[in-house]
Amino acid sequence: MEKKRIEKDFTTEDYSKKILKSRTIIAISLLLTLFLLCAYYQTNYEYHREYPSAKDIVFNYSKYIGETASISGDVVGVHSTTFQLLEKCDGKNTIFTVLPDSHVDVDIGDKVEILGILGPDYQISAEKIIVSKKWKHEFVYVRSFIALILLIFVFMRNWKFNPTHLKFVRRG
Amino acid sequence: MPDWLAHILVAYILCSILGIKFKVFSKENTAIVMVGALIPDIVKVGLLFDFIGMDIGHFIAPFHTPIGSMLSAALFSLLFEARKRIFYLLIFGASTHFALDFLLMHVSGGMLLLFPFSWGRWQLRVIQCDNYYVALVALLLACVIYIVSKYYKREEEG
Repeated sequence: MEKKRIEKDFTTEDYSKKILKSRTIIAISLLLTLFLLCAYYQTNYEYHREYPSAKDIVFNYSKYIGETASISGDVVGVHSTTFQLLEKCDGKNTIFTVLPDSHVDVDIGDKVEILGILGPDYQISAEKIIVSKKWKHEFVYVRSFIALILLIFVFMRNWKFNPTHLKFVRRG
Repeated sequence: MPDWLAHILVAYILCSILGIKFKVFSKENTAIVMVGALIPDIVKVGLLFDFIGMDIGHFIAPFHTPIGSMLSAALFSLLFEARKRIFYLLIFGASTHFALDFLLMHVSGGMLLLFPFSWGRWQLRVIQCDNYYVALVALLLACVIYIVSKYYKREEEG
């Protein structure tokens, strides 16, 4: 009898409120878990690096001379056998002189990833080099921007947001 | 990352092919899978912070891991009625993202596939980040699929 009475008094509005409350609790739990995951990464990633970070190298350079390092940045100068790479780290700009083991086709503005041995005076003898030409790198952003517009169009054509229930519902 | 165009088009192609056999891959759900295909790249929000001189890249890096993407997908699925189904569709989309990114080539490192249980990084070193052939092939395939599906739909209606 008591159960029947509760079911009768339980309105759609109550149900919506209950759903919203449970969604809020789940959302907060998920956000908290994500935050903890990010905090765990932030505090531990330095201990799990394959090679010293750019930050370590820049702030304690002499310690890492002769060691293998992985750096990346923009080409800011090209010479006959070497080129210069700008590495930005914590607001500090450092220019490395790269000594490739063979001829590499680079131009100013290209993005380059290097794995090599650190030498004195911010020199690095490259063992592996990946060059991303400036236009190719910029073209990635152009394509991605087009994709974002396309995705928003496709999504909004199929779903619409219902602000009263705070959820997306199918169109049509 | 391959560009976002490659990611969303690969998701679209897969859903269109699977849609022949499975009814769940409707056009509405295909849109969800396409959104899922970009979920791991929430990490690119870091680029916006770079513009204002804030480096949050190391804090938000876990978004580009399977576990981070699962949590993000779960969060996004709360905005839908059929949460469970939407969650699975988003996860499917995110899986296509990781499959594509797994092909990438860097001088070191790779993807943290088992984070936070392992810090091992993996990559197949097949294509460069700026490679546009993946997007080009995906674009051609997606156009063919779109035209063919429209044709058959018209045939069915007519």
